[in-house]
Amino acid sequence: MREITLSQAVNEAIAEEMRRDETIFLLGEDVAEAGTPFKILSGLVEEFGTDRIIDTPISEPGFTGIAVGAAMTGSRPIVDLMFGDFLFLIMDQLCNQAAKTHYMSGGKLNVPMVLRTNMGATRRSAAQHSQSLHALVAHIPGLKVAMPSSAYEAKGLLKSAIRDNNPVVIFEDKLMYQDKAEVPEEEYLIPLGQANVKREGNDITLVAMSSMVQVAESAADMLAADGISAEIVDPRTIVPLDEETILNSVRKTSRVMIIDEGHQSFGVSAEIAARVAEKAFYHLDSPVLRMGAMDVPIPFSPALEDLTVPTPERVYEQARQAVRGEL
Amino acid sequence: MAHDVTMPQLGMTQDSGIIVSWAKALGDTVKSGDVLMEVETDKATMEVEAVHDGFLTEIRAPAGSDVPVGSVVAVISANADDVVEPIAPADTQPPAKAKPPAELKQPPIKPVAGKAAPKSPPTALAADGKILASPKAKQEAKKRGISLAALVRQGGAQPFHFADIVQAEIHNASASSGNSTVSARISRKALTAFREWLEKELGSPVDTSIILADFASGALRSCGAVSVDEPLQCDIKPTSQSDEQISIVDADYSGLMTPNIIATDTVGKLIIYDLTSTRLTGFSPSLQPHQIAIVLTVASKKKLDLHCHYNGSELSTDAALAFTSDLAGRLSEPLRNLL
Repeated sequence: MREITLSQAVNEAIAEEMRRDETIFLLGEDVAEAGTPFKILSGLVEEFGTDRIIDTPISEPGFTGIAVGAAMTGSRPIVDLMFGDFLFLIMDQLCNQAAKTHYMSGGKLNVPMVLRTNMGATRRSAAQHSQSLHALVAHIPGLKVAMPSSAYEAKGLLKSAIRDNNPVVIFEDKLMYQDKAEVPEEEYLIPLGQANVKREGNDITLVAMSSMVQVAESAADMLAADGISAEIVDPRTIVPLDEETILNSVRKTSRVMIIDEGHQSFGVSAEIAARVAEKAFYHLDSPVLRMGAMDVPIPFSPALEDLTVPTPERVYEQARQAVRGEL
Repeated sequence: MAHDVTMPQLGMTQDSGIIVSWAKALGDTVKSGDVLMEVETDKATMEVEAVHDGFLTEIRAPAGSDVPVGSVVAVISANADDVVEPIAPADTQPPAKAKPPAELKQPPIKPVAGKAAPKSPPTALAADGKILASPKAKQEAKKRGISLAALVRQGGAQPFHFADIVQAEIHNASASSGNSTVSARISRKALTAFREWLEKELGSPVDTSIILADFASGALRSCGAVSVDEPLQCDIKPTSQSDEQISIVDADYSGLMTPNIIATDTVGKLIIYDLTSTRLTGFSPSLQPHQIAIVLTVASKKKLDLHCHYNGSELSTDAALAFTSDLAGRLSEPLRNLL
């Protein structure tokens, strides 16, 4: 099968959907002529014109508000938020308006909007351009949250998100835009709320999302060298969360570690850990483990930044101790 | 006049106690109400008082011994001259008389190795009596009837994990005493043919264990060990980690088509281990005295081995022989059992 980059997969998903449905338009900063700083959208303005690929001023609350209003009145906007860190600027539009409009209008209005943004550290972008804020969005009822772990997931999830009648926020890892994966030529969708068992194993379940799936895979390779077989579950969307697949895996392996690039405290890893403890308690043979980013502002210093995020070595070390009954 | 002092039951689930220390020495005067010994259970350490006046004339279980509830640990006699000197630990077992056909042993009172120091607590129990074990390990211990306190006393390191419980059962099985075994070799063909016939009749897969449960229940009633109207619970033990235990009541009455499967926490009288899908060739499960275990293993391509494990104090040798040969007969000619 052909291999394309995550960035090409996103581009293809948007182009295919825009060809299919002319109510779809895209707006954000530097999305048209510049094609975004990550060059994801290059070529789109040439095909769809400046009426459907709209460059905005630096005005995140403004253009997100425009998108929410357009979505309520029959369009299907895709918002390009250049950095996930800018979510703090659009909290009212996203969390008070987009998330609650369907409920507040008694079901009369939908907000079929997609907000594409990014996450991920170790790009040397410093504290205000390196955060992984998906837990913040997942906390608000009414918003769906997708976290693709490869080009294949990025395309399938984005197409489903565009067709969904609810606001969906997609977090792409900014370090994975050039990573290639097998992506079929023919059309496919990945339903929101369906986890993927990336690798089967018996001794410990590693739940990982986005780029942490790669970390889990490297750790699983290291564990395999020790004769420990790790199962990797990628939830793919954290809202809705495919709890059953995670729980079934934990019931099989009796051990679990959740790996997430968001800050560890009060994050997605805590939520999944709590659900496992509630619903698979009697199957657990070792403490529920989680590994998130350190609870510090992400440092600019490369040497320090690399210490703040989960690494295969640290996942391997902890998982091995769990399986050996040393915890 | 002499009175036996027995190991008291100090807790609901206690099956034995450790004598931490003796407060009285051999030959000492004892008054009713005097502290006689200090006993540790899985929950606490308690002082046990004498209930008779007299002299402590015999100590059968030295400090450090782990003694089953109800066993005689000492004798209080009205006559000080009745003092019996303790015998060396190696001789505590009664001299072997004419051996019964299958080996029958009384559980000997064994001093717990390295735990004889009278004042220091002999176990690693936490002050609040809590034992650390994973939720899965606790579930498994409950399911298999393994006491976590006993694992602590055996010196097991906490927290306990699933693997420790599996290990403990194997260990207990090899160390268990008082159990006897009768074995029989049967043809594999007849049982397989019967099962296949049954599956065809029912149109669904049938577990050999269900057939075993049915036949064993019937055989147990025919040998008179269980009366006709007495409910008989049979537990089918999982032989792989993915299986769950199944309990059937009156398997012989409810029949093979509609076994009366119940959800229960209590342990049954009959226990079935079908090890024919494993490489295991023998297994002696740890049993409660009233239990009888049936273990089925592969002997060769054409033969199966049937092992009946029972406690000699609960089932007579004659009954065990009758039961096992009846069951072997039913398994060799399964259709006859139906007629």
